[in-house]
Formats: sequence, C-alpha cells, structure tokens
Amino acid sequence: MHVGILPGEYIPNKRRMLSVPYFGAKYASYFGLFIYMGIDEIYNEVYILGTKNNVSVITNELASVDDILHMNEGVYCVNVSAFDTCISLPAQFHYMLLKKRYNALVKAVRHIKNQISV
Amino acid sequence: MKLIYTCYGGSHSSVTAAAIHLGYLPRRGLPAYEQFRAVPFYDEMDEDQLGRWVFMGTDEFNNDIYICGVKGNKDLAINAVYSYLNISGMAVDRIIMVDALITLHPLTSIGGYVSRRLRWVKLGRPLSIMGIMRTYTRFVELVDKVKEYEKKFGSN
Repeated sequence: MHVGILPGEYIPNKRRMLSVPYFGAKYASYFGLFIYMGIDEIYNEVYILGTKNNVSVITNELASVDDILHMNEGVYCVNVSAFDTCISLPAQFHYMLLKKRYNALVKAVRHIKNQISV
Repeated sequence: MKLIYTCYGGSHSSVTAAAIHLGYLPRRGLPAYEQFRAVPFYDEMDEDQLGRWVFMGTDEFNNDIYICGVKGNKDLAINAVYSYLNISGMAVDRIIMVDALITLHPLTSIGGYVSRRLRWVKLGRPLSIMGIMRTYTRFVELVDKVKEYEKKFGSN
C-alpha cells in the first residue's frame, strides 16, 4: 500500500491481494532479511522485515548499527504486527482477516507517510 | 572491525567472553568471584536494552569489542544486521558476530532468570557466576578461536 501496489481508497479483491509479492509467505529463511518492496512518492525505499516476536530487539540492533558505523541511513522501523496473525495460515485466510482490518491499515500507512514527510 | 559477542540476555555469557577477550578476566586459571563482580555490565542488561550493542573496549588488534543480547533468535539478529549492511552498501566484513551462548551452563540460565527477570539479584548473580565458572575453560577456548581469526583476517 505504501508504494502503491495496493489501493488506499477501496478494499482490493482477493486476486489482487494474493498477487502482491510475498503476501502470505512466511518462510523461515526470510526472517531477518530486508526484502525490497519499492520506492514511495518521496523517494524513500520501502522494505519488509520479518522479526518473529522480536521487534524491539531488532529495532535496537539496527539503531546501534546505524549509530556505531555512522551510517546515517535514517532507517524508520514501523511495527505492523497488530495487523498480522501470530500463526501460520494459508494466504486465503490472511486475505479474509486483512479485509476486515484494511481501513485501519490504510489509516496507519497514511499516518506513517505524514510522519516521514515532515 | 567491530566484534560483537551475542547471547540471550547480554548479561552473562557475552560479557564473560568479551571480558576474557579484553583481559578483564584471566585466560589462565579460574577467576575469583570478586573478579566477576568487577567486570563492567556483568548481570546488568535490562530487557528494554536487548539488541543494543554495548561497547566493552578495544583489543590488541585495534578492534572494537561489543556485547549484545538477542534473546533466543541469534540467526534472526545476525541476518538483520548483515541484510541491513547489504542494502546500505556497507562492507559486511567490518562486523563479526560471535555466539557466546554455546557455553551456557544450567546454573547460569537459572541465575540469570532469577536475577534479571525476577530481580532477585542477591541470589541470581552468585548462581550465574557459579555456572560461568564451571564452563570457564570453554569461554577461553571460544575467545582463543576468535583471536586466531583476528590474527589471520581481522586486524585494523
């Protein structure tokens, strides 16, 4: 949604949602890897990152790397676990659950965009 | 180069390995209880600090030594760091992450839990030190291996 693959104005249909890259994929080998999703309208690179239940540990770690190596990358971590399920389900079930929470997700993405554009 | 010793809570195993590495604890013989107490950051890391790299000192190869608590997901933590360096175009060989948890003794686990989670430091800390002392030679072996690697590849 942030990079425009999904619409912010209406709930996309099942086919469109399931065609989003990596949607519903929870492979152990992806955990901890930054996966590139695209660039937003103000040229921020957007990635996804699976952190299991360790969002704060990984966020602290990335902040340390940024600080100690003087990278100044301006990494901005957004925890969207609240919109996800903690158990592994088929992609169709994820679609059903996400459909119910889609408007809240739209609001969350708008909020993040407002924050990073300031 | 930055060398990071990792363990579950960043309070015992990683601190001990880093302390041996930097000479705060001896490589020969068993240190006294009071020597453990004097090691900076021993049994002090709080839950909200997990993931942060804490600087312990600079070794004889001019490499910076850090400790870090990563809970039970060391692979996740290591992947995240290297992946982040990768997308930022940084050289990944500037960072070496060493798992110090391989030498964990049950007494250290229990002592760590009692001290850090239950906040019963007077009981937990001595237990954790007793556990560390029982596996001390394995920490020394781990540090020796790391130093061998540094000699070959990692001096600044």
